[in-house]
Amino acid sequence: MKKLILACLICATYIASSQEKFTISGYAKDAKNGEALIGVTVYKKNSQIGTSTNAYGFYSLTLPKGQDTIVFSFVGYKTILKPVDLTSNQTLSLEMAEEGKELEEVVVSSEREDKNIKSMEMSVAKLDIKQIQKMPALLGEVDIIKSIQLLPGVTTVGEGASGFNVRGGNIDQNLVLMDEAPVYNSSHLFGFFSIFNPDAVKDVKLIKGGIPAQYGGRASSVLDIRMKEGNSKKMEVNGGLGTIFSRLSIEAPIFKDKASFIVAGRRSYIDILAKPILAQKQPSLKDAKFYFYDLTAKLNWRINDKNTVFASGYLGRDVFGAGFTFNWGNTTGTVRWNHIFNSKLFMNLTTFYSNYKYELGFKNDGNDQKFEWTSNIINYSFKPDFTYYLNSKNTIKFGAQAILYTFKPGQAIITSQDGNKSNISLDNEYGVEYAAYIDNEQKLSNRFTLQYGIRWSLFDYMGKGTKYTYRDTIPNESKPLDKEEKIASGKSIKMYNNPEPRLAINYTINDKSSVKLGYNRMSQYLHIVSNTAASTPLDIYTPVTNNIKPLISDQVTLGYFRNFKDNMFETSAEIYYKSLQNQLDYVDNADLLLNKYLEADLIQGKGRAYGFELYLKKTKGKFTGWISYTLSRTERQVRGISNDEWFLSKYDRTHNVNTVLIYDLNKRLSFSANFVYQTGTPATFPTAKVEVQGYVIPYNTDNKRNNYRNTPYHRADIGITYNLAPNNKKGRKHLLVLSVYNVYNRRNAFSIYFRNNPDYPVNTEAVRYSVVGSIIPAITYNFKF
Amino acid sequence: MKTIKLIICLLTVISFVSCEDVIQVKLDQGEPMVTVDAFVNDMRSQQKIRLTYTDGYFSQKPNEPITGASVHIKDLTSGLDYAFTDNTNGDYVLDLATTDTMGRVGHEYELTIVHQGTTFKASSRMNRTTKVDSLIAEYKEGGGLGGGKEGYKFSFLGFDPPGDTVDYYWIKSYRNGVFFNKGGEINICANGAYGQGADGFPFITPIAQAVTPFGEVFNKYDVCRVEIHSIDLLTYNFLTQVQTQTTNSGLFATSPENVKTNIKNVTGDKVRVVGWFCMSAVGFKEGVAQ
Repeated sequence: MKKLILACLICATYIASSQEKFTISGYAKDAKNGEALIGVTVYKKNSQIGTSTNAYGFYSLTLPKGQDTIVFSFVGYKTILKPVDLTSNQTLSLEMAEEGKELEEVVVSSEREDKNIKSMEMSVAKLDIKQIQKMPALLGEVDIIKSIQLLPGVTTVGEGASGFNVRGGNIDQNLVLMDEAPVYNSSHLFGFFSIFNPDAVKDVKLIKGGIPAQYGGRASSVLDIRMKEGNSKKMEVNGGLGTIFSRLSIEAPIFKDKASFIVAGRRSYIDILAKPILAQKQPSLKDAKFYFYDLTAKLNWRINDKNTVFASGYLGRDVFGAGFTFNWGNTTGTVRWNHIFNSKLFMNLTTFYSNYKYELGFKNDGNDQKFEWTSNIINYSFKPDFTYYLNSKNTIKFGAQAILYTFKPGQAIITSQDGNKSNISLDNEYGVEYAAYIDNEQKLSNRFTLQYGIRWSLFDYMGKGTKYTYRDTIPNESKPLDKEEKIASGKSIKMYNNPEPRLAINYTINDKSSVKLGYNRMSQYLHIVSNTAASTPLDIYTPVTNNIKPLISDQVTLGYFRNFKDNMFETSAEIYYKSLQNQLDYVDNADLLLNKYLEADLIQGKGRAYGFELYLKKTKGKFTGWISYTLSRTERQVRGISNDEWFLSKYDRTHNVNTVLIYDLNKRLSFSANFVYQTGTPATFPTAKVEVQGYVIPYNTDNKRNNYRNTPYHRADIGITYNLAPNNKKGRKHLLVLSVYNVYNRRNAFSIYFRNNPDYPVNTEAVRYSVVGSIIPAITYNFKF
Repeated sequence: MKTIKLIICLLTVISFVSCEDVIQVKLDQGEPMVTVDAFVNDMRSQQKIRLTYTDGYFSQKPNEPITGASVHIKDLTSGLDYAFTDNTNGDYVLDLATTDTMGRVGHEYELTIVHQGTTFKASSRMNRTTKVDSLIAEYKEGGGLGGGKEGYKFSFLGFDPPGDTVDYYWIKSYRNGVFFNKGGEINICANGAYGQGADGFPFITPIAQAVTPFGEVFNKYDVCRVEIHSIDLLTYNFLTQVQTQTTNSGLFATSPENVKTNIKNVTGDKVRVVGWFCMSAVGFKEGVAQ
């Protein structure tokens, strides 16, 4: 691999030096609000030579000396043609205007809407926030995570479950980045709503395969969410009154075109509405608390042509309480500095802080007895990333990262009536993850493009802490403790390192079609510890230790991409195979919370996932949307579980069909609908009942896990958006969004469980638990001015 | 962790429109297995061990009793052997003089069952227990998270004795002599709390209050009986499993698993066995709701 990189670099340098060339570089921004535009195609007219803007809107293109026309093209925006005379390196920053609202009137020469064909990216889904906003949503709340679940290759165990599963990966295998800072729990109210405020989100990209070397640390996917920078032209206020949340965001320039900010907040208000009712009907609940909120803020300052600084922060919490307290949430802070060394070398330096925290407490009103428990994961990170636009054929990315982790699995104190305190806290755990990468995207010919890179990662699990050594035992039994050693602060307990090769090949057959192949190895040095069907906010994360090995995944993806009718239709067909090592599983009756011998209850096994994904998307016209179909299988094999045989993982769904349709009737009205069909999730059902002490206990005499399936999941939703002020000259908007979730009132099984009939305990019965058991209509009012 | 689960369930209920429906499911029927139900204690009352065969999960009748087995418990510390009498209904009983008990704290016991040529053995040590210091009855208005009905709610006061090892308890409670027998009502603890720690403390509030299960109340003059049974770690784990497997519903259900057993087939033939043997010392108290 290293030799190959070296050979390509030498070759690249050679090509570069053969002719006199100059570089043109700059930023592409939105003319309306000054937001940097991500992924604008920038190319030399009538040629294959081009590039696209990065996550900060920057591009750099090196061309031979002479007169040329540069084309800037971006879906939904008017294409710009700029004549240039290249006699020296130049800066060319520009602003692009949106296409006219009357969708069919403006015919734009959008030659590069075939980006999906030409780009290296495969297994990538980009969601347009404007499109997400039109899709019908649960209780009318626009939701990024829920929208992602409508993409091929993405599944979830059910409504109300937090997170999402990508191509057979567990929810902790998704690197969810909000402005480059990782988010550990992306849900409000368990999994019903995601924590991302749609008014503050600019760009959403999910990478399922062929993951470039710049990303690492999780085994299955990357969800890269970029927040808005804030309108740098004029003040803008967005907001909405929904069934669950009320939202407000304010963005404005501080110095026009130089500095701007955005502050966006949301708060649920069922508690406020319910308070008078509760006070009357349920006095004991009048002090009950149940609400969630989030606050997103971002500031950017363009110091000069070469330097831009961004500061962004997020704070979100879910708060519940009624004789107890229970709350959780993420806090993240990021400071980034974009620096342009010269027209070819771009740097982004990120430092971030991320803290996921939950608290649980009980207090006895009568006396001073109480129980208090908090848990955190705290990250500090430093991450320089460089892009070197070597020449029109080679773009080299390289960089490094260090993340300092502090895991606080449980700070727990019990206080007795007489004020005695018992501290049952667990030791903190510390680790540092280091990574360095280099990656080159190289155009070998007009048809062949290659992207190859390597990431090298190292994790150091270190003191201060306790090193536990366990003896082997029969599989699926808690391992007996051999010894405990106290380890001093900063001293290494166990180190792991992994080279992670990455490769992507694009063979462009013609303007309409291409074949892409991707391979990536990913390693992950932390695991979520959760044995429940849906992950709970109380789930802890554990770093790899001397007893827990890192998760390693290898994935190969092959895809065929083809566009039809002048890129009106995009289609793709992809197959993938992924193998996973050291996936976490649990011994029977594992004790996962506040257990200092947790590692004794963890076991690790293999996983494999493979599938076939079909995707058809209509991108233009009054009628847009997509249909996707996924055929897949996800399995695990763990010693001691299910007779050591391969068993289906809990999020395996054989068939998965998603349809999203949006129809813009006129300036006032748009309609949307989606339909989802998924094979039921696997489940373990009993084959016998055991009677002990009067309890009737379900028992599986074959000892097989996931031997049955729940009934298929299907659901349809519809939405109508009505624009109250379609012709407002000042860009003001008043939208009424009506949505109906679960239109035909299907009671989908989240799980089926077995119990004694409450009235006739001798009778046993199966019970279907549906998270959503009715039609849910909702109305939301959104405004912008 | 039961309380945490409860809270989560509650939140799910109050926060959403979930629903549950009894449905028809077709299940395979496994081969019958011998079930041993042997929880024996040091109280001055008849001791009972029950033997049955497992049945298909949806068989709508009690499991078939096993009769004609020989059942013995031997006190390995004192050498005394107790033979249980076959009641021919699956129950094997031991009647002792009202002044005597069969259990001694600190003694090791071995259970031996012989049935149709197969011998099953299990062992258990009787650990120390603690007294129920007092019972407290409080009259509560209906409604709220306490679960609807209005009436008396009992809780108890008790102290975990300090010691080098963790004491495990199963707190059983009865209303007018009827045991609260739902899987979700199993009230077990380590020392006076959940998990490790809290050694030498009074039993924490959630445990003390759970003698009146969630949603239940006592009427005036009802009798509440609270028994603190000493158990060991493995029994604690077993009861945790029973609790989980009989209440494994909702958003945060765990992967169903088979309850473990401490009964061994020492003959080594193909007869499979499940069930549990535990010797407990008991501290108890009764109170009247008023």
